[in-house]
Amino acid sequence: MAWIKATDIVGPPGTFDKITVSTIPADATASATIGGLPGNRTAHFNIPRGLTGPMKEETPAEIATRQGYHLHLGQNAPLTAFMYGVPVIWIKPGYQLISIIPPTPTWLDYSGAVMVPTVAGAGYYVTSFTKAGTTTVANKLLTPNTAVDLATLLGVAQPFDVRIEAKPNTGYMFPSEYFWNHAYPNMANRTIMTSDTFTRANGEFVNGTMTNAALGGTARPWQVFSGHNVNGGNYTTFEINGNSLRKRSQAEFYAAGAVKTGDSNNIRVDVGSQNQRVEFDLTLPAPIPTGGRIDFLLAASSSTFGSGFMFNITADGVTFSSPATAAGQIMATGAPVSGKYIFERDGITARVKTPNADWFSRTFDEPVFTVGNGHGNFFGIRDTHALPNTIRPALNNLTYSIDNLIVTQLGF
Amino acid sequence: MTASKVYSTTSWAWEYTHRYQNDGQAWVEILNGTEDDAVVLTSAFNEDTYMGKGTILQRPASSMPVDPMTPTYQEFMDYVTPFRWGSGFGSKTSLNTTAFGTHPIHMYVVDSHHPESNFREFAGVFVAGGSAATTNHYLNGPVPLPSWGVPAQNQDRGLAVYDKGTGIMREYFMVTSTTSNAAVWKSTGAGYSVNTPGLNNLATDNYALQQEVGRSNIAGMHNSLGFIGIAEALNRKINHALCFTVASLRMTNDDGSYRSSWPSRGADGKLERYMPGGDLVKPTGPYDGPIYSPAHGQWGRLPMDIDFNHNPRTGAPYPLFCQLVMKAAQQYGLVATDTNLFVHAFNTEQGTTFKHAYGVDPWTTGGVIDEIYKGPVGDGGGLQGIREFPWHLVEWAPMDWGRPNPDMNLHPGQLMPWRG
Repeated sequence: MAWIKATDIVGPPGTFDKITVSTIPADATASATIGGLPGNRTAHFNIPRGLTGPMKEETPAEIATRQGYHLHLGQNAPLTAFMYGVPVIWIKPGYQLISIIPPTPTWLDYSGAVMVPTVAGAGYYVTSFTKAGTTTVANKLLTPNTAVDLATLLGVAQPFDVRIEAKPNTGYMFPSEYFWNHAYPNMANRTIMTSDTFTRANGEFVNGTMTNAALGGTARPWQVFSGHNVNGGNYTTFEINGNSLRKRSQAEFYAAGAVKTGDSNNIRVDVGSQNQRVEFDLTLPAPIPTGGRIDFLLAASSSTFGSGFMFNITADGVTFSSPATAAGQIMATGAPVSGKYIFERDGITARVKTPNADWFSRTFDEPVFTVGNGHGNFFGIRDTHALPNTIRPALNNLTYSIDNLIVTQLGF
Repeated sequence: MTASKVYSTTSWAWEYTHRYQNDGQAWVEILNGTEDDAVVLTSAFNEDTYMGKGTILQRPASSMPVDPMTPTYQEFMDYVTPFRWGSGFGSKTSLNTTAFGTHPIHMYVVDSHHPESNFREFAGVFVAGGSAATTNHYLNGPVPLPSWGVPAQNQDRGLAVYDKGTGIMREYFMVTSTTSNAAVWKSTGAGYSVNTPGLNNLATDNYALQQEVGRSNIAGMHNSLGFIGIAEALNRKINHALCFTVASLRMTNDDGSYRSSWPSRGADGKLERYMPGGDLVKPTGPYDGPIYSPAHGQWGRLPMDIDFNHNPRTGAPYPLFCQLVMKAAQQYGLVATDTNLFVHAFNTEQGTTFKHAYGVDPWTTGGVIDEIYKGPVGDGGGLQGIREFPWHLVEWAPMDWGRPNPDMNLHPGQLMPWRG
């Protein structure tokens, strides 16, 4: 095969219907390349050996006769099985599948709903759900961009498990299968996780001891968030005193052998619960100083920012914050007094009961349940965290006691 | 000669066939194109083919409610933040073009399904909030881009590739070559969205023109569609809201939360550092301007009762190019989608593609566009006329004007859709 340069071809590019090639060997097959055609295109010709005379375009009938079949190109099927006396072969235009990855659905555990986005090229379906051990196949298309109530869609009440699959639309493909199994919890469950009446010897450092579970649940260890290793032990300012959990003053803390206070006024017990109810009797011998606060953390392992859910007893009342809620939302007003406090964080609802006020509740944005934090689930107490140094000394000197602690798991 | 065009699922290519016969023999002619056939060489802002048709950028500004903080915002935008430097033609407003000043994000409209499409290899792209799977799927590997396509050649080195073949809109920030292979590119930020192929349906696919994952500009939007198009400048009419670059803003609200307004997916600014109590002092002395600013994503507009023939600050008509931009700000509004250093700046469609096709960047001083706006009015005229843009007249919408509920777009770091 010989190659012929476009310059060898006589005739204006793009307008010719006949080419004359002067350099083609008589006994060779050749091809020609012509550039500069309309649309900046290039034409390639394969020229049979021995070609002479003018060319003409084949008619469809001639092509069909030569090939022995007729090609029907198009999205729609041919209307006849034979044309030009030969069989018709249907070729549907091909296209490249577009590969996409469908985003993960958003699970709204507390409202029993799921949210899926609008995705160009895919839809989301509930393909099955499991209730009380029985799996039911389904094929329910989920409406995107809205919270779809699965209990209504599937006709079952929580708890249940669902399987949601994304399916590509025509013209699309996924690089793998995309499906998600998710368990929706039983929100009516109530389980006491642990409790403590602190009936132990006076002066005992509470860190490292176990809750006594006298009011229900199982014994769990008390731990520090971050303490100081003094004489081989992690100390906090919390001690057993008068059959209660008492926070020491700074002077008492130093007397016990610690070398520093200010960020070790904390204690926690790991309870492994996403939703918690915490009730306890609080004894406040003196008012909480203005600007100060005692934090009661109901941390869930799924919290993504800080320690998550937190009730605060302040000089003015009780506030609440969550990972998805601005800090300091007022739950109760008035200077706190001694007595029984109940804090609940139940899904998107926070509730507070104080000795001098009725229940008060707020709802907030749906919490996040996908990423764990470093601490895991716990109930904790602290009083100088993230506060300015101007208020820390007053809080270091503040003492208070907790008794009859009950930590209850809500839901799940 | 009539050609039939057949797509080969074997070669993944269009084949243009002419069948000829001679002396009982037949052969097939195959026409091949060039990589330019896979690139939209015309302006992306032709009125009839504008990709942002019906999107948020064509939301009528007349329907915009006005935030009571507008007087404060007007004072702030006119004050020009602590960063005023004497840049931007010595004014408070500049124009980002490929011919002078900061280069705008370079946006290319391509068709990856065209058999002649060229591809640029990307590796090591970072995507805030993206998974390795989605980053590699959408942003690393071969990306349709002509061999002559380049990112912005200074500053943020931004690149946008809108692929009509797949509907995938890719955005990159700070695009440079990898150290091991100059032909392979990387970026320190990126984002994408997936839309219907052809990109003719963004009004419903992606009304807010947001990147779905990641962020390549502060707003995390496909803000190139809010730039001033070459076709628009040539035709003396802008058909959409203006995505501008703002000198600097408050980054946080008083409670410490990020200050961002839908459809922006991020916040940025340094004003806090210059405000009383901050750690920085501007070159000309302590900051004494307003301490509240609009936010990225917050919509603004110019009122309709402006006398274009009389700028009270100059006593002369507004320059012609400034008038062009002002009229768009009246009809469709404006929105900050990125942060500058010294001045506010409007952005223009990159002239690289135009230069490739016609040999010269249309934004060149004294060039085809500049000449149009060197009319007899205004002092200076031409493209530099943008300096008289009246920021002190811009009215601002409340934060999150028009935000859908729920808002399914997840901002980087956000794990749950926003619900009002």
